[in-house]
Amino acid sequence: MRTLLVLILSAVLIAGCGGGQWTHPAKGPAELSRDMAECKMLARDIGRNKSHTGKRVELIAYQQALHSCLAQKGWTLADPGKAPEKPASGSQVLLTRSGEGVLNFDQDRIVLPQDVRISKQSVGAFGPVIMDTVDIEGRIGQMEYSGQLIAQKLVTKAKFESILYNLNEPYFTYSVGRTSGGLRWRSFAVKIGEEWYGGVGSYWPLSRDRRVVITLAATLPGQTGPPPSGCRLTPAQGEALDRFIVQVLPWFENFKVKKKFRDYFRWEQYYFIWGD
Amino acid sequence: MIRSAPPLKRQYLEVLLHALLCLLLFALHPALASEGSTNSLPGYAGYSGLWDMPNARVLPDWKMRLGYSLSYPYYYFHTTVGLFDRLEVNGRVTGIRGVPALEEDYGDYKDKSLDIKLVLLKESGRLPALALGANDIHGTGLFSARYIALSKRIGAVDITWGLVQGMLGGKSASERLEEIPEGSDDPGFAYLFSRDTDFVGYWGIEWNLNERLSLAVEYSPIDWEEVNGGNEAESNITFGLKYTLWEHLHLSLSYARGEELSGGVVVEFPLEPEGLLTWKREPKPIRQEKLLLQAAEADDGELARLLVSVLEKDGFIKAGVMASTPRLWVEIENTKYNSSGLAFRRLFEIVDEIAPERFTRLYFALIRDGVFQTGLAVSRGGMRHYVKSKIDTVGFLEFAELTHEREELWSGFNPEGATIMPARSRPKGWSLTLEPRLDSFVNDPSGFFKTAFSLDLAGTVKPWPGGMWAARFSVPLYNDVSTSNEVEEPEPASTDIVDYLGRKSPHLTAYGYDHIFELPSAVRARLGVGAFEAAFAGFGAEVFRYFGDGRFGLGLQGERVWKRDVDNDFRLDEDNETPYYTYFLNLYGQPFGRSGVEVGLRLGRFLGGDDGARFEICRTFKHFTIGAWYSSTDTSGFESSYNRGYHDKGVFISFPFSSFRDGPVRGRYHYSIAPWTRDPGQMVSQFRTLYPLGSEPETIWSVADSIWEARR
Repeated sequence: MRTLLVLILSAVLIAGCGGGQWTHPAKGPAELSRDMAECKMLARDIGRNKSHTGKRVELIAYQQALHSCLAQKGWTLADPGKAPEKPASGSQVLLTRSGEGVLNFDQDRIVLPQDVRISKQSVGAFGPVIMDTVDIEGRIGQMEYSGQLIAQKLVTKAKFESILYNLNEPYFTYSVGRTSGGLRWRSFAVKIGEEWYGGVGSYWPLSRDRRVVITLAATLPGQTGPPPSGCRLTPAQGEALDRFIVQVLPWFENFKVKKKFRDYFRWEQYYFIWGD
Repeated sequence: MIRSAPPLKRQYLEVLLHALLCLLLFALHPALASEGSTNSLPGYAGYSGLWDMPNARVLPDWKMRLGYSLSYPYYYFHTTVGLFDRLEVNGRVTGIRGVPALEEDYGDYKDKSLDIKLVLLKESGRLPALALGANDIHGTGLFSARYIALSKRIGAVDITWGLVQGMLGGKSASERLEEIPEGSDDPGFAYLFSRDTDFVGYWGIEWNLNERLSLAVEYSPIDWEEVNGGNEAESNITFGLKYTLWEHLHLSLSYARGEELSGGVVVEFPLEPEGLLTWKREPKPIRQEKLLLQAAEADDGELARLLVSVLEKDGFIKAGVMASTPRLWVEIENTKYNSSGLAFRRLFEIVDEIAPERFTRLYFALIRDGVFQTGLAVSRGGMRHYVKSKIDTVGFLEFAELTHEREELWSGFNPEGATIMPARSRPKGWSLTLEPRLDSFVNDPSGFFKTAFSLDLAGTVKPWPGGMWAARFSVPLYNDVSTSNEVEEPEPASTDIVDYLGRKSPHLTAYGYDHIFELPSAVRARLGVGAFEAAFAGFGAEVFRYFGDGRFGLGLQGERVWKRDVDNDFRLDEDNETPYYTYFLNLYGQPFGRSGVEVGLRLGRFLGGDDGARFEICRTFKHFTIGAWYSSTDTSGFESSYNRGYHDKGVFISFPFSSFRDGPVRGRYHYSIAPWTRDPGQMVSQFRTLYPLGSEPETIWSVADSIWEARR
């Protein structure tokens, strides 16, 4: 029933929205048509892959893939009547310090762990995302850790997806969970060279175009014997990572996910379906 | 004998011939011809055809059509379903403007009709499609007709020619009555098998101008002056346009009978469980190193507890696990997916990820309400083979065993009869839901359409396996249910139902206890006590057993109930203390292979004391069910002429929640339409039933099917 309502309301919303316009600094309509056809084909494959049966196109995945593909080819989506949005370029400070151990990202506050040291702050951009990265270091119990807070802001009409902290090999998942404030986190481990590391990471969604990537990591003990069959870590490494997780999770409780924001993604998703 | 068609007026004939010539020239010209599908849009009444006349086309298999059309003075609400690309069933209500019904409140005169069409030969090569059909085959027979239709597509033009009898052939109702046995209480059905030999020819042409637009013209021999509410037609020709606005929405506009601008709107959609939204692919279970470490170091009992916890987190709210190296028993209640194959698959993905390799033999049990349904015994390697390769159901069943008997699965898992402690999830044993409920009642003499809309608070408590307390509290928000029919039976089964359904104050619709027992040899038994429905309270009992692989079943059922007090939810009616009792022998079968067709027969005594049979047929396919029932009972014991000779019948449909969601979620909506103010052939509801018709039971037969479904 709710889905139906969403569909109906979305249709009403879209009726007043109109479509955006793709613009490119060097290409014209003919090139757009060619790029669009190419990207649609690619997006369709991705959309099918993301659907349960593989027979139909999953429209959200399709839309995201299409936007991403066109963006990679240099196209930018703009509202009709408005000046085209500029791709992210240059640098912009997103995280400002206010008081001891507090960072501000627009109106949102980030309280840093106790006795933390900010070692570096750098700004940059990647595609349509501008980023402000703060490197931190500290100690929890006997474990020293280092971490990163990456404030990200989108400068195009694209939206951040509400997803679990992403990992790729050689990183692998140790455990996943959710704080009482609704923040989903993933703990991980990795072997780099001869060293083992473990950590916890999360995406803290703030709005459709702003989020903070939080990662804390520490060194794990080395392997004194082979791990159990089918495992990559030894029990001792697992215990060390567990201790680390137990100690950092109370800090993760500071990051509350707005309920309104969680719902927001659903609305956006259906907007996308009909807005293509 | 073939009657000649009535002479056409000269000017129409000229126009028609000209149009025909143009159409054929255009259609046969290769540059202008466009290939269209051989599926046809409906005419006014809902069946595939031109305008009033049918063609030899039918809706594709498991496709449905809903529509409304107006061709003054007639208007039609119609629902059509296509079956097996051969059969089309159309149900409609025809209203006639300007013809009053017996009672003023009822509005215009309205007539229900059932039409069927069977394609005997599909179009191939030079041969046209050939279909046999009949309209209004049950009831008053106001529009009863029979026909043979031939349709042939040439380029973009679909040409139909046919022979027709009855109303469509210009025969009046009184002339049709002469063709059937005198005093027949079902003129529609009697005409279907009458010896009427008078045929009249008709024809029609539908030209697909492009993918969206078609032009249709027909010659119909209907004598409108002889049809209830009709007048002499200006012409036998009707022509117009059919336009596809969206993929599933079609509009039509026509100039009917040379006198009326007519139109209609139709929605057509395939009955697919993946409906409005594309189903998203469910991410694979996340491989968590922590769980692997815990599993690697766990003993059998600890592993069972770990698996239960993981299954719960994945959404299997009722799970039980027993581990006895090298065997692992996992039982779940599938509350997650619309298919048990998908549940098995997910279960295996989780178990295979976590269970150490020392477990080589898996025993999966599907449970419903704590009662064993179907078990699957399979080697771990075999299951991996199934998940990762493209083997079909037959191949899978070569290394897997399915059973309805818990004992059989258990003896494989625990051949030594050892004591193994199970780990079980602790699901909340209760549920409470707020359900808006809309009941529609049609065709009472006091008004064609009556509605009861309420907000129901439905609760269940399942304190132990098999047991269930249930209650439903109803808060009426709108209710105009009433009837002008008098209750004539001293102990009515259903004719006093308006007293119960028309209540406008909050009330407990149902409450009581129900228990399902697992008996040896896969026999199931059920006992229920309480207020089963608004009108009846008492006791109910049932036993049922599947045979073979679950395609057939046999059961016994009986109820002893009393009328409830309309004004007091906790009392019985003091003015009617007579107990009502029923008993049935229930037969169930799926005789037509994997077509999804289910048939059922209940033989015994019905609520009104009438002995007889109730025949049920439905098709459950792609998680939709469409079916109908018809009862034939001895009505001589009834006093009311309204009940005597009456046969109870109705139709029902179930459609899956998943067609409105973005995943293959479990659950279905149910809806049925039936007369509600007659006493013959009535049964009393129960909280649950073992009789499986139309309920997607988890039998070996259906599980094997869904295992294949889950592969795709």
